[in-house]
Amino acid sequence: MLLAACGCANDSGGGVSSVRMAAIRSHGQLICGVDGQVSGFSSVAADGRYQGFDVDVCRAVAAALLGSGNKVDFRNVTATQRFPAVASGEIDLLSRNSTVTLGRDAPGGNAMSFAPVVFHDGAGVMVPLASGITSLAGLGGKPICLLSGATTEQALTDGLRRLNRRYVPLKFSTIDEMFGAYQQGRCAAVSIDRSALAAQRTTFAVPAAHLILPEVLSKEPLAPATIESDPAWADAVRWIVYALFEAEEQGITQANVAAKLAEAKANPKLAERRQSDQCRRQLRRDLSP
Amino acid sequence: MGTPSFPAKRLPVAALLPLKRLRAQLAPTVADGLLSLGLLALIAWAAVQLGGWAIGRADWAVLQLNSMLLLVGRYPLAEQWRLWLLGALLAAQAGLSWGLLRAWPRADRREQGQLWPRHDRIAAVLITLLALLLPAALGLAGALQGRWWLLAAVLLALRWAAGRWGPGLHRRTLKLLGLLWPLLYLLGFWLIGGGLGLAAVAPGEWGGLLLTLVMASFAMALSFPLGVLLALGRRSNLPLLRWGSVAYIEFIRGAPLITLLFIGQNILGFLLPASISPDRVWRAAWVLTLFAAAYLAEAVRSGLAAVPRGQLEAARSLGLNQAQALVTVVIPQALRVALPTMVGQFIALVQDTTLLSLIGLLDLLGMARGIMANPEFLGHSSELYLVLAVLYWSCCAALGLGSRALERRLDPRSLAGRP
Amino acid sequence: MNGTPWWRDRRVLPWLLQAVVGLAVLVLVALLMTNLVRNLSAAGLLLSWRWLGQPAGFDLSETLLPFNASMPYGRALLAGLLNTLRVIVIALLGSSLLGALVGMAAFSRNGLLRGLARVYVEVVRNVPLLLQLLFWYFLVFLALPDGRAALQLPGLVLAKSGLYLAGFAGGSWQGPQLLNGSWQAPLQLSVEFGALLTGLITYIGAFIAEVVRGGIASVPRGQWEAAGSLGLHGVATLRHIVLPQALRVIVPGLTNQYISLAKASSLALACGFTDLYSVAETTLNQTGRAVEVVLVLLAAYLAIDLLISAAMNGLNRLVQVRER
Repeated sequence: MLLAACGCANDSGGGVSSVRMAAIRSHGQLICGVDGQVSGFSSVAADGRYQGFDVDVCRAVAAALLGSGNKVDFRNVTATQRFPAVASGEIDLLSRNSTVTLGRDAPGGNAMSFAPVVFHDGAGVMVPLASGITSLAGLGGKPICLLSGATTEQALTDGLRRLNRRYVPLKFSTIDEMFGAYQQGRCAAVSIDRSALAAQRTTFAVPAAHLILPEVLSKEPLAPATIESDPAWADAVRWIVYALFEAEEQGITQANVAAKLAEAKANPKLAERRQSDQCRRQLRRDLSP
Repeated sequence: MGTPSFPAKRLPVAALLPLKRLRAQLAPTVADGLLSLGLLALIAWAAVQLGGWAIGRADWAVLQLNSMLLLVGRYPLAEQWRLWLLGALLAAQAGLSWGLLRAWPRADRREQGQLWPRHDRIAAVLITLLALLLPAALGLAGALQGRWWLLAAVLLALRWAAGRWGPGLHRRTLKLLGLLWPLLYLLGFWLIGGGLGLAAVAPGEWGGLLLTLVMASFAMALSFPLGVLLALGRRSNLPLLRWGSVAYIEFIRGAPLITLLFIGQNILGFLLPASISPDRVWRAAWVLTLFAAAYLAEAVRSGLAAVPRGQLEAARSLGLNQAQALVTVVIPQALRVALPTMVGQFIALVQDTTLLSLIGLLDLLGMARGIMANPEFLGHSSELYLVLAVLYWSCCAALGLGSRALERRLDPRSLAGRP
Repeated sequence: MNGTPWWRDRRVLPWLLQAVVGLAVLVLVALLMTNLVRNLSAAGLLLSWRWLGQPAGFDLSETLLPFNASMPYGRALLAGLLNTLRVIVIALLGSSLLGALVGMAAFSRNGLLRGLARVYVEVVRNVPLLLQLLFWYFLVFLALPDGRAALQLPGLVLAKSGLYLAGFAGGSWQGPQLLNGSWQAPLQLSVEFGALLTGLITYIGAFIAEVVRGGIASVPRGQWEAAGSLGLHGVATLRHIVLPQALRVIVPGLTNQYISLAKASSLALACGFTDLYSVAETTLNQTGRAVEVVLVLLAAYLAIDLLISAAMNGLNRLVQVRER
């Protein structure tokens, strides 16, 4: 796991007042909302520890803020609960493979404050190989299993509408039940982010018997989110995420961070250059679509 | 369907020969005989199917591998001794209460003085068999099997001891023993949740049957006083109290539980200041409590309506004030009348805990749904459904049986037989 | 004149008590509301209903009201409400019929039938509805065969893809037909709807059976004997003598069961049926309007409950009036 050990992360905490950050510090724990059921992103290992990509983001923020990646209180939130949980202040940070959309960002919608995108996903469709369906057009009029309220639902509706096809949506409130119905043959296809499709397929008895269709229905940029009313807290999360990018690029890990720091101290010019390089790159990333 | 008749008018079948008795029961007329044959065939078919499945196709590995997950969820392994200790204490207390109930003369003359009536013998044998066979059949580890035997042994030993020496106890000692239940309740929460010297286990880590029982018992214990207060409020002469209670009760009873749980999970955060953010488990527990209180209030109200007004007046004329008269005279009578309805609500409450799985909590059903989603166990959900149905059924049926036993004991006509 | 201090005066005390309780409630509500407004405005979510007119962007299946993704949220919620009403009405009729039959079976002379009725009631009432719904959907309906292997009865086909019923289409009577590997029929229901209905009917039916049994048992035995001595046989006695009297006890009990049925229908999301609650959840997810969506839900279910109560009260008056 990467640790945020970068100067950028500390800049935001000091001078600016943030209710949320003060609360996290006094509480001694970061309350992080995760899905908890998507392998690869967040799941619970047999020993009860949370693991996965989304979980690591939580741990990195806790490490930067509280000095330890273990000072996280993970809470499972469902797709419906996630944004109200942030907006009402129940969780400090949402790291739950959530797509950035205008409606979710804008005030009057879900009004989230999104951190930089950490994963570029896209909505996809999976079908049983035996069905003989090889493209989206073959799904016209067929029942498709969906996750209620996920962005993939809109993407699929739009994708099929472009082809002048309609379909029968069968909505489930959890990923488990959606894939359960799919595996029992209730629907001709199942649709969700392609990463989740791929992860779920590996757990099937015969993964090769299922085909993820080539069409990518949408761009699904996934990002952590925080409450809109606390910009200083949002800044802190944003720069911690940038620090993670940077550390990965420069190969800084928990094991070698001390050595890298010593090297930078010994050669201040190099450190300065790196710092400015880093901020330029971040700016570029910020502006890129 | 068979010809209807009033049950009490049935033939005095007990006197007839077995064959004739069978005939009177199954085929009083030709049409009834045909119906019986059809039903028998149906039952036989279902039994063969179920038996064939249970012995042949069912794979109980899903239970063997997940037994602790279903029982306690993600409760830390290092702290599970606390739950076993609590289990042992509960078994001891249950055995003690059971034995004392039998040791003290019962209204029911038939069973008076008999320490091991037939029902109790059957129950004891069943408990022994279950404790010996079920863990073995599931192939649990030796240490786990031993713990189950120990629990059963503690229960039966105390049942025996209390039955043996119970009659010699002083009445005041008995009253003190009754106080053990609330004490054990508080102790249970401490053992489960930790704190005060024990490592804290966050509610998010309780799961499975443990969470179901904690939620149900928490809601039962707290909704009861709330329900009584609401019922009194609804019958109060004070307009503000009356209308307040009516509004609350009707609002809660008009909404499906799932929307109330939804409010507790998604809206409550907006209502509270940012510094207070109770855990979602506790929020759900309070929603269940407030929900059950409204229904209990209606049950208690029907009980209050059945107590004649003269009771209150007589109590007042004896010099008791309003509160004393209510607490010592009216409410006990009302609760006795309301007991069956109240237990019905408690049974509904146990069933309602399954809705927690819809808001992402891992109660018994939520845990089972998670396990069923595990591709390793795909196609073996029938076994899980069956076990869950049996577990919930036992909890609810036990409540129903207990309430009927309590009803008999509290029946005023039977009080005459007591010392 | 009066030596009673004011804190023990029975004329003052009750009003004082009320004032204190009322004030406490008022302060609490005011606190909660202030928090609500502050938190909502911080999140940019102050109450507004404009989102009802915005296009939903999601599709719904099996709606009575024609619906597609470009129609507004308001219409989606209405379509969900109509689906909820459809479930309630059909389940209400079905569970009443089942409950009446089972309740009467408890008085059959046939011991086996009596026993079966008892077992059914005791088993079904003590197992949570949600568990039963999952059982019906995942274990029974989704295990049905599909295509040519589907269960075929005259005028009815049961398949994994749905329930197909015969009916009038284009002016003529048509049964279910297999076209290109998928079934077609004038009347089609999804298995989600089928599972929900089956679960609700069997569960509520067991409770209604108890209500009916209690009602019949409340009729004095003399009524049966008198009818018997007049030469009426069992079914006629039940129909003409006992049921009209039992109804007075049964109808109030039924009201409670119907209301709990209406509320239980919100568990539809467990078996994938699109009812009001399911649409509301999707809507909340897309719009973030948690408070408004919950208000819609509460108002809708309260209205349904009041409607059932009013109708049943009317029925109750009709049944009670018969007394001299």
